[in-house]
Amino acid sequence: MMNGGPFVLYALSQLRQQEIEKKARNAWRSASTAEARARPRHRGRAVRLDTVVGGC
Amino acid sequence: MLSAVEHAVELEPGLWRWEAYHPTWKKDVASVLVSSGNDVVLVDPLAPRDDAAWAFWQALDDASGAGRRLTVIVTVPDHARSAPAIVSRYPQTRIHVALRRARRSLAGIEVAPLEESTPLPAGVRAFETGRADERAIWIGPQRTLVVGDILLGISGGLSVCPAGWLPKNVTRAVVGGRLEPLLQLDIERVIPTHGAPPAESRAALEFALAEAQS
Repeated sequence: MMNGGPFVLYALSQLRQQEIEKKARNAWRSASTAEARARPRHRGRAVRLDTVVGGC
Repeated sequence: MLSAVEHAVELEPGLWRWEAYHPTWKKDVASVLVSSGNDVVLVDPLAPRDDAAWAFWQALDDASGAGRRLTVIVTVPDHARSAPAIVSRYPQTRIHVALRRARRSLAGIEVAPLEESTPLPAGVRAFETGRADERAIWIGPQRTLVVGDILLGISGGLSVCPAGWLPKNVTRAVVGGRLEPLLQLDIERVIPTHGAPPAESRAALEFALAEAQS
């Protein structure tokens, strides 16, 4: 193998891993959004998952 | 349980501490999760945001989907953080918080009391702090004390919060005295939700309470 071969393989594996994680995140988001729409709302209000209550 | 969550550390089996950025406080703050049998207890939980969020919610989805009981304990109302989002996503979640007077809702959510006599899951107990609306949380099986605003992690140790954070009729000395029963506990670690855990938790707690009363 030419010089730098292992590094190239490592970099490719990292890119592949990032791609897998990105797909997992997107799939989770889609499922989560669909599920949230179907779920009864809390006291008539939807609460976003990034809602933060309180000052600290 | 939170192994995929950024900035989450399992301090010992079943006891997790993680940090997340608080958009109002504009600093990272700490939260705690206890996983014990059928129970998952979250103390002052702040869900990670953006790309870091999905692993956190996935972990709770898995727990809820497996039929585990979720409980949120809020040390002080200002630390409600992600409690409304959690109860919205998992409606069976019970939230415990100490509220002044006869209020029984927090941000529009029905909540349960958080008193020293309140039975809590996973070997958790609440202790009074000298503030009517704040409790220190003792996780017995892990010999861990979790504190909200009343004790801060500062310079490798602990400090009772500044006088300006306390109600008018409560001094730092009052708080120092009121927290003394905690020294009777067999403390392995203290986890402040603001600041880093001290290396020598018991000594740091003793020092902080003595300093507040001096």
